[in-house]
Amino acid sequence: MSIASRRDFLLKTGQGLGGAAALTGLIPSVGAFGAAHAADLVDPLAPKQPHFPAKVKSVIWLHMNGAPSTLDLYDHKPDLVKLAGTDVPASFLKGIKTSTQGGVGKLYASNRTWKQHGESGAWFSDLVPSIAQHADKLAFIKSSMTVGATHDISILKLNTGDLNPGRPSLGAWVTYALGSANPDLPPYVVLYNGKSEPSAGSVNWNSGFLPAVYQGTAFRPGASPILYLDRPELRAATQQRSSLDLLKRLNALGTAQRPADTELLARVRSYELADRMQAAAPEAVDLAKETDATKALYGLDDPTSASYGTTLLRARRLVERGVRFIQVVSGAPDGETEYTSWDAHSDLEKNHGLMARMVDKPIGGLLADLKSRGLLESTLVVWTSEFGRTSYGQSGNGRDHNAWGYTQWLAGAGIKAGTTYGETDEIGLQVADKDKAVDTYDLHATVLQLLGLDHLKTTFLNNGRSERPTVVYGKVIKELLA
Amino acid sequence: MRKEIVAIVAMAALLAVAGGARSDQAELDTDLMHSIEDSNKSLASNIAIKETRGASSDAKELTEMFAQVEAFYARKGDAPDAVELAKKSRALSTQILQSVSTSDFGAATDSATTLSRTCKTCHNYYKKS
Repeated sequence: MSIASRRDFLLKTGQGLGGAAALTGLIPSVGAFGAAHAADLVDPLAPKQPHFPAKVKSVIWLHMNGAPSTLDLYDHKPDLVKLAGTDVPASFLKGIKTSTQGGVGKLYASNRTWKQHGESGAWFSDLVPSIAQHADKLAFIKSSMTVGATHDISILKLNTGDLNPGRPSLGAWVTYALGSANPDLPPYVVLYNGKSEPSAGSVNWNSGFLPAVYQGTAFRPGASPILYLDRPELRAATQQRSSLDLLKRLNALGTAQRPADTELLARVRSYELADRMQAAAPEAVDLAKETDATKALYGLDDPTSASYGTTLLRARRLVERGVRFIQVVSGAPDGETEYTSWDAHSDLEKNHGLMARMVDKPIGGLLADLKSRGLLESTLVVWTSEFGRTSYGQSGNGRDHNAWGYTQWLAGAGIKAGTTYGETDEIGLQVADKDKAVDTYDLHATVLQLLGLDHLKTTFLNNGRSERPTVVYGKVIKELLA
Repeated sequence: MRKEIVAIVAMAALLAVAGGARSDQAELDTDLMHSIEDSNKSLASNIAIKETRGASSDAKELTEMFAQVEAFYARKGDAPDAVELAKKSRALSTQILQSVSTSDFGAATDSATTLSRTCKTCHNYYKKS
């Protein structure tokens, strides 16, 4: 490539692959900075091929914030009910270290009725009647386990695989490995209901050591999902376009001098993406064209479920628009100040009564809606939490955190629907068979597998060290796959 | 009298050191565990980038370190599970060394992931948090 002038240089560095070739030729001293790497920097979100054919195009990651007691939702334990009010038999505490404030309480059973549903005969409590209608769509993981006694660090492990900040979230890895399927929207979106962003923080959708462009974008509740995205009324679209064009030329000078500065590159791309998103993002989350029937399906007509239902309906719309990873964090119904998460150390009946009502209809609606639109065949829905809750009580009518055995589930593309993998012990405290324990790394490996990615080959060189989403762990749970 | 006092003080000092050493051996050396963790992460990386020399060096180090862990728990006498897990870890490290020497990085990766899970299993029971 010959460069006749600085203007010529600027024009060519702004032109995709032509620019990439220019960068390669102009910076020989950078050594391994080849055309492929340069192409990534020019468009790091360009679609990439998976390692093998994917079953899933989009993931909806339903994080139940605060950790629900799956003993009161999915994991029916008649022995727990029988032994309620008695001390935990010592044999069930073998191999675990408890740290419950106030000490390990008596075994606790809440006022649940249980029924089997569907051909699978899966058990559901009376708290989740809508989800129960979809029993045969779900694949339960009843031998989930993790580490960590507090929410923030276990949420971090759930999303990034580490108890300390600094690693990319699963969504960031997916974006890195597969790129974007829609250039007008972020490929990785975070949704939540409630007044403020999830308390565990944006470290849970961060790109870590991956280039910054792969981080999640949090969409706020309300008509304007992204702060400061809307063009001010006093500014015409043509004025904005002219400003952006000038900014692009100026930024090209900076990126030419610092081609490996991924934060600068991400910022440069973000202006153009923001310009396109001014139209695309509000349209994606605008429910005005949804029918009343659809809104009712997601529970938008019930104040308790309206905010979470809105979030899930937005998630469906984002799936339709090719967003790869949608991380939905549960909050609290509008106006609710007493029970703001599933964290029921006390008052479990009231807490879970409210939280279940907030999510049950919307999740049932989401599964039905995805199915009816043919989207469930290419979408993976994951119910997940940072841990579960103990069989023994706390504060008399609550449950403490339980990292030793709890339930999660998957639904959608590539899943062996209507099945259950693993189980907890008779009182639902620990995973019964440790060989079937499913850690967060295993869940990540399985989700990546469904996206067509081998977790062992999804790597990034960070300061000379090869890193992967599953750290040094992870196994694909083949029994969950169709 | 003075000589007796000096002898008593010296004896007390010797006992304190001996007692301290015994109490050190009551717990597994955390520096050793950190070294194992670091070597394990380095191993995973070296296998992923097919760096034979680095992976071999890491695998050899791990074999030696797991031997120390095994010896510790064998001496302790009350942790047969830990002894078995340490033995398994040592065997896996040796297996990785063999796989790497024949450039079978696929097998090395599988063994390395199993090794990491073995570490976790032991931690579930024996790691003080």
